[in-house]
Amino acid sequence: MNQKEGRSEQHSILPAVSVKNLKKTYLTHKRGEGLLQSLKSFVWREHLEIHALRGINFSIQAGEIIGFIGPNGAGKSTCLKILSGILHPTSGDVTVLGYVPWKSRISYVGHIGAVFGQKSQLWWDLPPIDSFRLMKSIYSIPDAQYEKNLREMVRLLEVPEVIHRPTRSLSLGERMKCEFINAMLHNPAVVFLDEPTIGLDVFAKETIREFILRWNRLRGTTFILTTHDLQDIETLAQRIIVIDHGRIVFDNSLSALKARLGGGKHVRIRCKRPIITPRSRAVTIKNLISREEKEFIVDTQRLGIGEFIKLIGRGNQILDMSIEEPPIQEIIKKVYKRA
Amino acid sequence: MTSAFIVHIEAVKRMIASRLAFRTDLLLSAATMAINESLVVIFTIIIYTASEGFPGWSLPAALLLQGTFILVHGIGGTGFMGVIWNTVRKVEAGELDLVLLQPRSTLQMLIATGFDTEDIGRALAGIATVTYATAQLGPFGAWAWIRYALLLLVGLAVLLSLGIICSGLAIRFVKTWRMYEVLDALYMLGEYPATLQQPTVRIVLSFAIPIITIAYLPASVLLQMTVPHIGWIIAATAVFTLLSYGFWHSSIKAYASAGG
Repeated sequence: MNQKEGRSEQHSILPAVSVKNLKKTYLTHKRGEGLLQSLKSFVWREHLEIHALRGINFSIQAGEIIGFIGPNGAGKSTCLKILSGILHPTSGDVTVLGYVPWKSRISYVGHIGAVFGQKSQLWWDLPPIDSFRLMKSIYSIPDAQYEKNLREMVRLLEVPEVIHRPTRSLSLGERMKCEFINAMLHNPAVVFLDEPTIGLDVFAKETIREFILRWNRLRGTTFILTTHDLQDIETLAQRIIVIDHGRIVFDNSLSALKARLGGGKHVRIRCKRPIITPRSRAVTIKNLISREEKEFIVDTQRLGIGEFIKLIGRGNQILDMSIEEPPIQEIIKKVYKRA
Repeated sequence: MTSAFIVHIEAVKRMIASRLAFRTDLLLSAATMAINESLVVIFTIIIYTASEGFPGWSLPAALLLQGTFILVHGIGGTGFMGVIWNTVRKVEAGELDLVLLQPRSTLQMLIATGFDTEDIGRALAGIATVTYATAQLGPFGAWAWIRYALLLLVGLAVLLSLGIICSGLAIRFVKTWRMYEVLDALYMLGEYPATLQQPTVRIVLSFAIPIITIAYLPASVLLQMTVPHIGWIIAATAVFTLLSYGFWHSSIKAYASAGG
């Protein structure tokens, strides 16, 4: 059995990513505003310790799609940079695919991929196909695997002509699709996605999301996604990890988060005559559209949706009704506020 | 090793292809560089004929020295000195992370993707000057040329080490554009015979930062001049190269990346 086989056998037993008590502290300097403070800082600098990660723990199984979210400065990027071998942590244990990322960088990074929404890995003045061929040499990808992966990804991402045009002449959406191909030609087992849909139109976003889901299903690739686009999270993530001020404040499925912090269902009702609001502590008015139309929030842990319909149907003649989950933005805002 | 060589060649091919996309810019840059370096040679001739010149060095010998300097500078500038601006630019833009994500030597990738076609003009000017000077001074035997070529490699190693040190400084301190000017001023000292320097400066340029290997050493050996402690100078070059490599590796370990 060769080494590669041995490692993939291990994958099925061990988690793809394991993080234990991970800490990262940066040393930076404080600088006030204005010229005087700049001059003062030029001569003498007051150093500050920034605790980017304060002892976080989590693990990710092979084949999972994880949404790694948090407000700006929460520690997401620091964590991903440590996981991808770019940064050394202050303390803690990390293994990804059995490797300690910062200790065996060269052998490790051959098994991962990364796509950054705000940084390009493509050669600006050359067509993407030239960048792909360079990746083939860098990752020593066998000819057959290169051809097969390229053909498949070009088809899924719908970019057959695009890859032959200079990168600088491509639209953002076309470029991002090519960034995906560039990052995944070598069949990485774990892929880090840092805001991969930022600035894209709805069609490009949809194609990229579909691609991620299909690749995950077909190849069992683990995706770790950081994004501020919560639609990405809803569509892709099987599990979300919320990080804030260097600590993990939530680690579970989106439905579990909704159940915990959703605060009930949003029910919009239109009646023939002015609506009589039911007297219940579980019902609050969210939006008063008109006397005949209102939006309620029903705390479904206290009052079932069926009971609410019975309750409101007693004194009102309902013409139309819609029941919706609370918007994910509101739930995430609650998580951040609690943290 | 073979695989690393292939990656290097592939990256260099893409750098050339990128520059070929803008033909006028490429041709103008290379021509400007060649004319610029030819002016240095013309100034040397003017200064040499209007003054006492370099004691112990005839005009063709002085041209050989300067031609060798331009040649080494041109080869280094084309092949690996781009590592400086490439590192500074990538560190400033937070793009060094992307290089660290590739399963290759980060230094090699920075050198390969810093390949600079502009300096080809400088290398050609160096070849022309050396050819002209040796035609006046020669003929030289095969062994003399072999020793000259080997010492050119030593000079290139010193230049590469200086580039690696500047790249390491860029990783540590981010904004270091002025460092390139300091470096330029430093290796300009290699453009003149070491015998013109003060003894203390000569010791520093021979053993601490062996700048004299860039042009003075190969030119002197070709001209069969006596260079004292040549073995020690080459040993000092080896130590200097190793130290620069060590410094670069300690810098990349201290790399803090950009926020985000």
